[in-house]
Amino acid sequence: MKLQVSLFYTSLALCTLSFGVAFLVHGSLAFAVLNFSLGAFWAISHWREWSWGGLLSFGLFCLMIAFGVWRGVGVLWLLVGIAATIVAWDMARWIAQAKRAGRIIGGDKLIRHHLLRLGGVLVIGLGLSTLALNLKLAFTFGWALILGLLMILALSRVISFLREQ
Amino acid sequence: MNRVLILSSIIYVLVILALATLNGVLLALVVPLLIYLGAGLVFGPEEMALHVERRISHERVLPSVPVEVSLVVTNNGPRLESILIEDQLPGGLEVITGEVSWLTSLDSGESLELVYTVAASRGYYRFRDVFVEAADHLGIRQKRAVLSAEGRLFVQPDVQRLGRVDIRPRGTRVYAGFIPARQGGPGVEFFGVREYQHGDPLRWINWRASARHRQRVFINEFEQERVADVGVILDTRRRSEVRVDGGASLFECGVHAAAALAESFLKDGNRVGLLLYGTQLDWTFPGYGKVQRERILQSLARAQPGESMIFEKLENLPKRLLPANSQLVLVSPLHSDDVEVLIHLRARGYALMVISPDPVAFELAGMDTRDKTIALAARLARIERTLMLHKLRQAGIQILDWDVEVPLGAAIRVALSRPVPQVHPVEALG
Repeated sequence: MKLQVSLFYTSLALCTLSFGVAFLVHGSLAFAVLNFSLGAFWAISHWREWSWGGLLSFGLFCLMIAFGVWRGVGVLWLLVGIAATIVAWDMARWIAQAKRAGRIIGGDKLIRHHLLRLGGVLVIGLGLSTLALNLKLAFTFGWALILGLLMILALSRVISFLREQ
Repeated sequence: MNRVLILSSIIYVLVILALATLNGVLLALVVPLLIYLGAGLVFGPEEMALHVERRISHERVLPSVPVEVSLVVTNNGPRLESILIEDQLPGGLEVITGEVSWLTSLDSGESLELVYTVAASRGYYRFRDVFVEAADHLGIRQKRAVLSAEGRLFVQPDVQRLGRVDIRPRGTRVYAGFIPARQGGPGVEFFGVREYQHGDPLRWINWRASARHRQRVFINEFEQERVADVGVILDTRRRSEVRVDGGASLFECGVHAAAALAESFLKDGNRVGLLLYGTQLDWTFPGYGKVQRERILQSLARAQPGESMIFEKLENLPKRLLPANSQLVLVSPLHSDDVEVLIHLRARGYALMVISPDPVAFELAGMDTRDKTIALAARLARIERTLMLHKLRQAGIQILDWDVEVPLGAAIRVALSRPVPQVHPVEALG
């Protein structure tokens, strides 16, 4: 549990710093302050066990990417920030579940598998993302159309999945 | 909240923004989120086939006695990477050792035994469901289910052992017991003298009486002792409950008294029934012996004070359930409304004993009696209660005005040691 808590706060600090530094370097002080406030709010929410606070912070940090890209800040900062945000959100969930469960049976094994899965996801995600960033494809109307259709398809899948749930 | 929905929404918004602004960088930055969501969807649990069996070490216990509850969870489906199992405890149970929720993983065909210990105050506790939530390691795709695992626990009232409680109902049953039957025959107490009949034991001959008559021999007769029908009525109306600051409950005292009395009557071989009168009628049909004792204690374990428009007053007491001319024992703090009904019952031929836990003394124990207002209120309440009890005594009803600080056995010995008055129904008196 201590490992998860440390990982949560470390990743939260990392995502706050990376987004914040990115905006500061770019000269967007207002966004940097907003970002640091958001990080502080998430930490407080976690400490006070406000699940909605964590959810809101995660959503807003993800939207920070869009703002960052819009403002033209360094992509590397944003990439590190999004990875750290994912880790923070994942750790927050794990900690909440561990607190809900009075006892964890086979805790070491569970933690190891969880961290391995998360690490794998991050490595693949960051790798693919870096690859995509270095891929030079003309983002034509045709590509946008294909992706748009894919999005509609994905949305219909998500809706049907949620209905099943 | 559903994590799939949250992640999908965020990804969707970002992708729409990327497409709307034709920005490939934003699209590339969404990839880690997409991979995270995808991993959850790929590794998430497809189906859950769990079987849960509950074992409880004891079905009937005394208050505060630890009871071990174990849940055996078997996974009959595919491997579940992460599973949260939460036993839904009935309210009022206190977990002493162990936990009631566990986080683990379950391989296909694997079984897991989860054990915890609980203790509780008097009551009936019904275990029903176990909540399970299976997910992948990242907890993105979750499947929840409520599995049925029934179990029950009776925490019976602690039964205080009383000495013999003297009762004298008008009617008795045919079996030998300890209650004077108002009939001559074999017994202990002198009953009368009658002329000798062939077969009478010679040692019963009353030589003095026989000496006064020529050619006639008289023998002593003794009063037969038999068992009787006893109906114990516990008042479970809301008004019978008084709670003081420390959490002590007058109703609990009543329950314990009813249990002790039923035990005492059953031990003497009587046929005892129990009626819980309050929220509803809970009638334990009269019976003998240890099985009946269990039935009565189980019924008392369930007893809770409650309200009902129909049973607000004692006048709806179902007299047909109570055998005619039997002994009735009412355990109730009493209310002024009850007096008429009790006198009426007495007039119908029932021998009536009222064990009345004193609500005035009980409530006063937790108050500052130096306060003049409280002292005056207590005095008025005391006068009202004394008058009510006096009226009942005048009607020939045995009353125990029980200060619950005094053990019931001692209170009964003091208050009910006088000879039981004879019961004469109204018709007979007329």
